Amino acid sequence: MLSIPKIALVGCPNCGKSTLFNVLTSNHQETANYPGVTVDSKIGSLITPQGKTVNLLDLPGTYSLNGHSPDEIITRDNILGLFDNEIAPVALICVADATNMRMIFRLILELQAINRPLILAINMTDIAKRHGYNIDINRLSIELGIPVIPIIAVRKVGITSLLTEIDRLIESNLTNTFDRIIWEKPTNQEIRNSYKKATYIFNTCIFSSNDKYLTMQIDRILLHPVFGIVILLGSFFFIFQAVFTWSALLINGIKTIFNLIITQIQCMMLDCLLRSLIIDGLIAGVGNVVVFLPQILILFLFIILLEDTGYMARVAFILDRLMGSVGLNGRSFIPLLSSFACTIPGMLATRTIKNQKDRLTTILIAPLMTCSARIPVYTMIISTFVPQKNFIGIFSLQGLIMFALYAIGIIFALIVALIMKRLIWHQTSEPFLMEMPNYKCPQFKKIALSLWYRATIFLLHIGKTILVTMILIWFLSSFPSAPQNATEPSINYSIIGMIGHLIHPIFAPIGFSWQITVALIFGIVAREVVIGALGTIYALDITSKNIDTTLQSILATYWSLPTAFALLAWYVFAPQCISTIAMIKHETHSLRWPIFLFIYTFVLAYMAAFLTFHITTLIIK
Amino acid sequence: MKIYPMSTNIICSNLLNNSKDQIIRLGNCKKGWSGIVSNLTFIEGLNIDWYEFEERLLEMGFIENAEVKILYEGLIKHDPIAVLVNETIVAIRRSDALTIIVRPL
Repeated sequence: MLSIPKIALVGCPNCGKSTLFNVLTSNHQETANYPGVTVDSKIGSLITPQGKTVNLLDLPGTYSLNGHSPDEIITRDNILGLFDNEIAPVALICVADATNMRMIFRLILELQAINRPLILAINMTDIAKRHGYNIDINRLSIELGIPVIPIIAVRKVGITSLLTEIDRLIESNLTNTFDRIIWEKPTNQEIRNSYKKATYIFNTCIFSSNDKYLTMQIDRILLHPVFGIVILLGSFFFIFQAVFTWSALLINGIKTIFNLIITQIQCMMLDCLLRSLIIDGLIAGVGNVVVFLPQILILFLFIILLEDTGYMARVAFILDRLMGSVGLNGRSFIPLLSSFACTIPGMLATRTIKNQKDRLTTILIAPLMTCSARIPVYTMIISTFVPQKNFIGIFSLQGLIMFALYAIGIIFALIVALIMKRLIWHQTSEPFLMEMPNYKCPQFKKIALSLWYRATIFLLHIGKTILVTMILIWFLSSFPSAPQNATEPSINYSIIGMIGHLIHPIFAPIGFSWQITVALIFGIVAREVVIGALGTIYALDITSKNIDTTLQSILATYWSLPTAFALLAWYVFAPQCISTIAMIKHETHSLRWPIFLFIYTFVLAYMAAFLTFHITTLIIK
Repeated sequence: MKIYPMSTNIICSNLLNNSKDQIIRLGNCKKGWSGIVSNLTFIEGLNIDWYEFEERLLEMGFIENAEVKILYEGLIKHDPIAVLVNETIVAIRRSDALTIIVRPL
């Protein structure tokens, strides 16, 4: 056979599939590894001891082939080969959490019905042993009629035996690769029957003391009705603080490096058009964005930690009542939390939501969570216009305003959810049914890999989108150049000046200058661009020596306080970036919802900015 | 499968006066209660097709004769609850857990 055989990893959620996948494929993976649960299939390749290349598919966790939610449907359709251009995997490796075997037996029985060769890899056997479990591997293999391999994916134990087994499987089973897979949805009675069989296998092969001691001890505190909420709020506050304080040192470092580059170029090059492009367009623009990489990475670090330790499910548990009051359930909170980093992984995480309206609502409110791309705008305006004063002695005024902006976003998200679910669709929330996984120690390597991946994506994104946009902005704002007898700054005569003046009347009532208007248009490409764009537009005549202070001093002289606050208010709701809109179109399979989102956020943003501008103007008078 | 007649008012279980013919619903039980699942029944007001919900309950391990114990509960109205089902901890709302009929050990 010429084509490379494909094998898929299947298993219940939280069984360590992704860890095993990382170990087996080392670095030969293709697609995204966003923080949070696997919600899309990932493909990688491995080479067996006999030198055969095998493609390995990592699938989202599932308890059955019934496909209750979009991520479970991805798993089912991959296994059954229902995707158009994809053939079904020739074999399956079923991954089980050794401390939680009963459910996997039922899944195995279901998978055996589709007649594909199957290997059972029992993961986390070390933890199981510590918890007093004793698994009779040989008996299990006989009862199930499939090879059973005990492994510890984290410590790479048992991987060689697993690879040898894959070799054996490929050799013996290449013949029936082209069989059609026949699968019929089991009835609930059949599920019950297979449970009986699963329980029999469980009772004969596994001796357990049923000891969830550690997890239960931790949960006694973390799920305590009162302490649980205190700890939850405390950890969110800690994350928030960490994002802004830990990053300060790194941010200063990055700024210093960029300033050094700028002064070097200024020394080396004569003042000309090219120098202006390099300094004002490229370095200043990119520098303004790279500065925020530390904050984004710290935020992602915490989200990965919440997910990997198993605390995320507890967060969903604690917040279920709150989410229930607006017609969603606790599960919706997880994508919303991811959206604080970036809306895109947030939208992907909604695939675990089973009810379609719940999922749509979550997708539509996720952009109201303040994503990290808005941090640059917030930080810039707050640090320029809000004095560094302390409030009641403890809280910094700047920090409080930042916190308020996040809070407003969350409150409006809940209001929008309430309106959509309760008033428009007249729906109560779908049932909340969620497994609470055992607590696990997060793995340094997996986290480091994931963060590294985020950093490269961010920098590549800058490389492609932002760099091109910055050059475009520079070009549009430099040409055509001002006439000889010009009295105003040259930018007023450029293409960008013309566009800005044309659209400006729409934004004048909310206090935005034409320069802001132009920057907002570019902000739709990527929000991170706005600060860079403002920098370029304002700084074209001034040679920027220091990216940040120059822009800050420019803003302080050009903008009034109401304008600055109106822009902050605008950015709480800001019409979405292109990537978000494309993602919504992709996830909802329609144009209607992305258009709806754009309009509703635009209206909210306009109203918020309008009110803020006029109220602030009245107050300072 | 035994099917108990349903009234619109869900019977409040009285744990002290726990006679044999009284139906105990998991959703009405207190924290720390443990017992065995007798069966799953349809109730009014579920925002999901009952057959599908039953399927999901079964998948999470709520099946006849499974051992259950309520480990934790939320702050507001003691809701939701975290239930130990055999070896797995499952979070479920009290209103949804009314579909699970249980009996003491």
